[in-house]
Formats: sequence, C-alpha cells, structure tokens
Amino acid sequence: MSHLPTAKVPVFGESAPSSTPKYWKADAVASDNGIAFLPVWEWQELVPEGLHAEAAFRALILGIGHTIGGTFKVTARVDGLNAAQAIPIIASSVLESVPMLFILPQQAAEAELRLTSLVIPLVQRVVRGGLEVARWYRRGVRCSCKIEAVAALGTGILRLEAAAVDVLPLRRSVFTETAVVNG
Amino acid sequence: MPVVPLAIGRGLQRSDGLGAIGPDTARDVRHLIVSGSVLVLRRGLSLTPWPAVPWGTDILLTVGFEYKKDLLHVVYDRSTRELRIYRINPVGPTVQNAGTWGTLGVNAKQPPILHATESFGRVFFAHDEPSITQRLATIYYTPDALDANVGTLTTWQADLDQSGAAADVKFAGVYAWREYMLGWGYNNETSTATQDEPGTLRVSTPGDVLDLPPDDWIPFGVRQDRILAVAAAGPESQPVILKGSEVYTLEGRDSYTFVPILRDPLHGIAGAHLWARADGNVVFWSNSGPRLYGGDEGPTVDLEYALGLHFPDPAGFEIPSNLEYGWAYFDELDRLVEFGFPDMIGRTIPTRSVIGSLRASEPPQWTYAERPLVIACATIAPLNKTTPPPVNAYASAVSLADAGISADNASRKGTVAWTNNTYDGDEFVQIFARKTGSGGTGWSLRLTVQLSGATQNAVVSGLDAITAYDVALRMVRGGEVKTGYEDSSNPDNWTGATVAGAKASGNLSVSTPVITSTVWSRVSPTATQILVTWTLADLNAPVSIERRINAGAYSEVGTLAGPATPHTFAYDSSADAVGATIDFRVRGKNGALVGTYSNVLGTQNGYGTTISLQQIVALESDLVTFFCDAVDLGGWDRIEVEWSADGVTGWTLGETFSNPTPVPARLRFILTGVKTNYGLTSGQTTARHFRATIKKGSDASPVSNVIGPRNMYPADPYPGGFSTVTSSTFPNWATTPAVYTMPITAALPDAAVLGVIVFPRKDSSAGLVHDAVLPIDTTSPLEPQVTIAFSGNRYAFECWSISPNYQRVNVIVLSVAGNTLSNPVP
Repeated sequence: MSHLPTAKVPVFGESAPSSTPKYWKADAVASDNGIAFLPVWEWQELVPEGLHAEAAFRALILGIGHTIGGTFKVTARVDGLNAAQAIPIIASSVLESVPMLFILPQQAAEAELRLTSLVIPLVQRVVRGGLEVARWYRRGVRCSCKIEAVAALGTGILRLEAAAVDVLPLRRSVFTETAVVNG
Repeated sequence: MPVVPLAIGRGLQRSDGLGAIGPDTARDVRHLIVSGSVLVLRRGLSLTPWPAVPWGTDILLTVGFEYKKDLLHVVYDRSTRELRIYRINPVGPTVQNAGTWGTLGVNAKQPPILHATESFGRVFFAHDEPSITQRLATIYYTPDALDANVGTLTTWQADLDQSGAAADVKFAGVYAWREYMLGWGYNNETSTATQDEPGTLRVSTPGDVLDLPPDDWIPFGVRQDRILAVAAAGPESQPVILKGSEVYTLEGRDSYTFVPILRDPLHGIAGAHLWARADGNVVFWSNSGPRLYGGDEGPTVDLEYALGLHFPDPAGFEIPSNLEYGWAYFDELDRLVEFGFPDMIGRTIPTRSVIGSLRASEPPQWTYAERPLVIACATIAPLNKTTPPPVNAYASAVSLADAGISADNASRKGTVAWTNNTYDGDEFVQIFARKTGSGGTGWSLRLTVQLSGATQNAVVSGLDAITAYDVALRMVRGGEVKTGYEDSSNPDNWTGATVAGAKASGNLSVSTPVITSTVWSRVSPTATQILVTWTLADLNAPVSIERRINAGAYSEVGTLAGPATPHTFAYDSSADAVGATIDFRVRGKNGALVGTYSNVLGTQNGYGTTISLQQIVALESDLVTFFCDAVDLGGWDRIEVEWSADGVTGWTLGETFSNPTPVPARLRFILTGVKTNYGLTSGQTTARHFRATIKKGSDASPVSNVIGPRNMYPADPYPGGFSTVTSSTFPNWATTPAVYTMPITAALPDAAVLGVIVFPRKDSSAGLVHDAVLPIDTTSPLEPQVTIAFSGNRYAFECWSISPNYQRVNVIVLSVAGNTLSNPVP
C-alpha cells in the first residue's frame, strides 16, 4: 500500500445490530475495529517438469519486506496432498506434511523496511507412535504453497516481494497420475 | 539445485486450467492486494479521531463533502424508520445533527437505498425507493456561512408540470455531472403516473442545478425499467446510465442535442452503489461479476474471468446473493477498486469484498478481503481540513441605540456600533443580544456580519419596542474564536480583559400613540364603559392608559402587554358620575421605560352621541320640520324634542320620536303641532325654539343645538267647531242609502281659513283607516258637504281647516258610531 501522504482516505459506515453505528477510516493497521485479520496467500500449482515428470520440492524461498511482526505458517500441497491430512501407511504410522512456521520480528516505528529471505523446507515425515522416524522432501508432479498468518500481526508494512521453489527433477514417467488425495 | 522463481504480483486466477495457469497467480489470496509486482497487506479499519454518531442503527451513506472538507452521514434507525443527516466537522471536531430527512412508511423498502452527490457547494440526497408513493422528497444540504454552525436541509421543489405551483421533487437518484445535475426516476408532479418514471433522466440547467427545465427529460430504453445508477466515463466525462441489464450513455452537449445511446444490451449493474470511477473508467459489478466501461463506443468489458465466479469460492468465502446493497469505491492512492457485499437484511458478518488492483496496465488483479463487521457503505473522504489560524480580533466601545421601527411594524431595530481591534480582515463579527435581566439563557445570536474597517456598525432587527437590551460581540473565523470567547450560547461566560468592552446595553424606543376615538356605551343595566381606541405604529408595544375626570389629575387605569392589537381599552365608567367629562391619554410603557404621551381625547360619561338639528326653511312654514344627521345612532330607542319660548329657558318636552328601522342617513321630524305639547293657543301662531336629545333607556346624549324660532300653529279642534249636526242628519246605517250627502257646517272665526277637507275614515279590520279623499265642495267653502258611499258600520271624519298655504291648521275628528256623534275620535 502506498505510504504517500494523502488528502483522502476510504471511510466506511456500519450497520450496527445492537448499538449506534460506527464509522472508520482505512488505516495502516492489521485489524478491523481492533479485530485482527490474517492474510492468506495460496498460489496456483507449480508443475516444473511437466505433467509427465516428477520432482522433489525441497524448499520454498521467500523474499519479504516488512516492518510488521508476525508468525506465519507455510503449508505445501503436493499433488493435492493437503498438509492437514495425514496418510496412514502402516500400522501406527502416518505420513504427513510438516507445517513450517516462520516469525517476522516486529520492527520499531519509523524503521526502514527490513528485507529478509527465508528458506523454508518443504518436507514430509513419517510419525510412528507419535515419534518422527523419517522425513524427506516433498515429491510429486505439482506443488503449491499456502502462506498464512496464524496470529495477530503487529503494526507496519508487509510485502511479499519474491518467491521461488527449490526443485530437483527426479524422473520422467509415462504415468501422469500418482497417488492423489483430494485436498 | 535448480530454483524455480515464482512471479508475484498477480491476483486470483481461478478460471484457467493447469496448462495456462502458473504459480504467479493465486487460488486464494485474502487481505493482500496486488501492488505492482508484490503483494502487500491491505489497510485495516480504525476509528477516526472525530466524534461518533450519537443515534440510529445504520450509517447508510457517507459523503465526503469536498467543498467544506466535512463528512456527512445519512443515518437510519430501523425501529423508528427515521432518516437523519449528521455532519462531522473535523475542526473541533464536532458532530452535528443537520436535521431529519424523513420517516419511511411501513411499506417502504427497508433498509432504504440512498444516493448523494455534491454540486456547487451543496450535497443532494435522493431516496431510491421503487414505489413512488413511499419515496421521500429529494433534499439538499447547504452549509452555513460559519464553519462552526451546521448547515440546513431544504426540500427540493420545482414546478415541472408548469401548473404555477412548485411541488416536491422525488428523484430516485441524483448525480452531479459537470455543471449539471442529473436526476432520475421522476418526471412531474401532476399525478402518481406522471411522477413515477423509473427509466427517465432529468437534466438541470447548466450552472443552476436547482433549476429543472420542465421539458428537459430523456427516457432510456423501456421507461418502466429502472435506472439504478448514473456515473461518468471517458476522457470527456460522458454520463453512463446503468440499468439492471443494460448500459446507456448520454450523448450530446446540451439540452438540444442530448440523446440516449445503448452501449451494452446484455449487461447491467447489480446494485445502485456497485460502481466506481477508476482512471476514467466506470467499473461496476453486474450479475455476472465485475465489468468495465471506458466511455468508448463498444460494449462493457468483462473483468470477471480471473475471479472464476463460475467455480465455488474458496472455502469460507462466499459472495452473498443479495447484491443490491453492495458498495464500491476507488482508492486512488493504492489504485484499487473494492466491491463490498454486506448482508443488510440478516446483518451477518463478515462483510466480504473483492479488491481489484489497477496498478498494472493489464486487467485488474483480484484479491479477497473480509471484515468482521456489517459495512453498509464506503466512500472517499477528505482529510485535509485545516484548523483556521487563531482569532485575535475583538470588539470595543460597543454601543446600542434605537434605529426605528421595522418595516412590518412588529418590532424595532437597533444599531450596534463598535471598534474593531487587532483584526486581520477576514473575520466575522457575531452580535449576541438579550433583554436586560433575562439572565444567561436569554442570549441569542442575532446577527453575523463580515468584519470591515476600524469602526463599524450593524442593524439588528426583531427587537421589542420600549425594552432594554444587552449586546455582546465576538469575532470568529472558520470554527475559531478568540480565546476566552468560546461559549456560543452564553456570553456571560466569556473571560478575558477585552470582554467588558465587547458588551453594552441600550434602550429601544416606542412610537407615540394617537387616540382616535372614545365611545361611551351601556353594556348592561348596571354597567357602562368608554371604549378608547388608538393607533400606535409599534404594533406589539406594551402601553399604559390614563384618565382624568372633569380635568382633574390623571391616573393609570390600565396596561396592555404587547402585542396589544387591536389597540383598544374598555374603561369601566359605571362608577363615574353621569355627564362627567372623562379624558384619556396613552403611552408606551415597559417597567421603568416610558414613551411619549398621546393626544388627549375625552367624552361625556353618558350617551355621547349628539344630533345636530337642521331646520327646513320655507316650504311648510306652519309645520315645523327639521332634519338631523344621524351620527352613530345605533342602539338608541328615541329622540325627545323639547321646546322653549326663548330658546334659553323653560325647556319642555314636546314630542318623542321612536327609532326608525333602518336608520336613514338623515332623519326628518315633523312636529305635530299638538297644542298641549308645545304650549300653543288655539288660533294663534306662536314662535318656538327647539332642541333634541337622544335617549336610550335612562341614558341621554348631550343636548343638540337649538334651532328656531319657528312659528307653530296649534292643530286644535276648530274653535266654534262645526255647527251641530243633528242626529237626524246622521245616517242610519241600517237604512242609509249607499250614497249619502251629509252637510257639515262650521263657524270659522279665522277668515284666513279657506275651507275644510274631509278625510273619511272607515272602519276596517285594521281599525279606522283613511278612505278616499273626498273632493272639496267649493260652492260653499265654509259650508262644505260631503257625499259618502257608506260601507261598514262606523265612520269618522277628519276635517282639516285649510290656511292660505294649505298647511294643516287643526283637525277635528267626528266619529259616527252607532249613530252617535262623538268628538274627537274616542
């Protein structure tokens, strides 16, 4: 959003069920009337090697400019596998994506924009009996990630300026379908 | 390790397949907006530093008033269905109730949809109600000259059917386009049918937005198909008329060339406020999603594709189906257009919106947002209202003097004079006034004038006559006043070294009354009054009435508080002596303040009307006849005529004349000349003087003038009478022939008498009435005979002696009743 000084701002009026209505102005805060909103970004799928090949999606690299502080979660969806779903593989073992969290430290007011690069591994793991026994990079044909704030943000600027995926081609296959669980 | 970069900077792309989309687009993006090649966090909502709206349930419309840099809210209360306009003044800051627009009928659409637009320093409001009978009148807000004061609401009226009478204008919507005002949904006031024109647009006179030429209206397509919104697009700001399923433009340059052109026959707008003007384009939300019209000749352009509205929305995000309450705005700074979709019926949260970033040259990049509030409206408002510089000016050497009566005579004017100190020249001077002694609550702002020069004066109107006033002055500029002068309602609370000199007191004068009449009358058998009437230029001035009796000392007998109209006072004269002369005078009076006395006018305590006797000259010299001019003889019941031999003494009642109905302008009285009434001697002419008095009951008017002397001759039975008419000469009615000649002889001692005239009077059901006049038997004027055709059974004869002037001298009456002679008529 622009931080140029402006003579005009959006103003909003309320329909209030149980009190006199309020009105607000758009402001550089991450809340609406004090209630935090949590940004979400989920991109469309990356198919780096084509629908006939498979790759390892090893890391998500993010370039973020911020002064705002907050905690964010990155969830990879590979071939439709939703991170919220755990797939049982053998008795007492499940295969699940590992949610990754990263924290942006809150900067002081009037501070310059802090540019940071984050390398976020995209891994999945086997959990047996509640213990992780193995983890490896996500592997599949298509990959997308969802980045979302998981708690109220601080005050300031947030810019998602760059993103890249570390991809390792693995093989080409005549089979275009792998095990897919609709996410 | 190969790294695949992801291009960031595009929004949603949910329509294309895997082969066309890529990770640079998103399937879900919330609370972020596309800004060039990055995604940035959207702005949140925070309360303004301005006062809250103190009433209502819904802010249905918010208007950024550019002219005054104010914010106007149209606030609705669902329980009372009342609509009010509130003004937010960022300087202060203050919230002020500009007034009530109206109360919706129970059958009106609720909550209502409203429109507002600013033009030529006013803000116009229209009620988008489909039913014309439920629609409120179109109004406009006019700001006050002083920024600290709230403006006024005025109902827009126009005579659109040229009937000679203006009526309320009831547009469904208004839009300020260049120097014109465009209104739609209303034609003229003749009838409900002519009022209700949903598809018609009216155009004002350019430069005079309140003037609606009766013939300047344009139908757009089917006239029953409602126009929902009007915007402007293109480099030439061409009006775009949006209906539910069509888009038109208004082509032409003036009322002679205006013509509607259909631009898109397939798409229209889904809600009255679901449009924004962005970079010269009109971006609006249709039933199939966002579209754009750029003012060119082509149809509207689809912007929906990337949104993929034909797919389910992301989980948890659903655009409501009730789109008519949607809103939109264009944020020029962030170059985004946002469409919001509140649930105005169920008032569920959140309010979801779709944000389109226009920062790139390609089609808008869409993202989502949702707010945990029911957002009813959105607008762009100015924030740059500045506090005016401090006011240092003050008034001194203030004075108040009477400036005469106002044009309507209902009040007086006062001239306030003062000296201006330490001024810049752009201040205004506020003049407060109160009646002396009325306390702090008595103050009111009476006048505001532009400060001008080192010394100045101004005329304050609407002041009461014969009243003492206090005045107080302060200087203002914008919403600022000099320190210490902040209290706008009670100057008693002003503080500072300059305050004493900014105040003064003075007395208003009063005109001098003129008493025009004093009229005595009896109001009951025991009460009389004198009605005093006066004129006084100051219609509402309080007065004091004084009287004196027989030139004694004056004393106050009554006061009248203003307004004292009519200017009359009924003085009770019952206790005053009859015939006493009572004088009155009147003056304005209010406590210790008194005006100049009026003239003195008095009257007799009694019947005041006097008649003026005017004697007839010549004609019937032996019959005293006089006229009098009736002067207010209403209510009198008789006039008594008195006679006197010398006109000075010995006045004696002669005759009484009753009140004729109606009373002619001039009364004529003929004295009967009865000897005993006027002290006459038979056969003698005697001079008499006469005067008259009006009587009513026991009340008498002043005595009239004296007229005379005039000769009177008694109307006696003729001396000597007629010779005896023996009974044998009288007819026997039973045997009398139809025609009978009865000799009448008389000894006439007065040689001047020429003869007699006999007037037979025959009996009738009405008593004795005159029969036909019998001719004189001149063969023997002193021994006339009469020939009578008898009928009835009683006869009487009036015998009139004739003098040389044929003036009746005396009358004898002979009656014949049952063959008995009697004289006079019993």
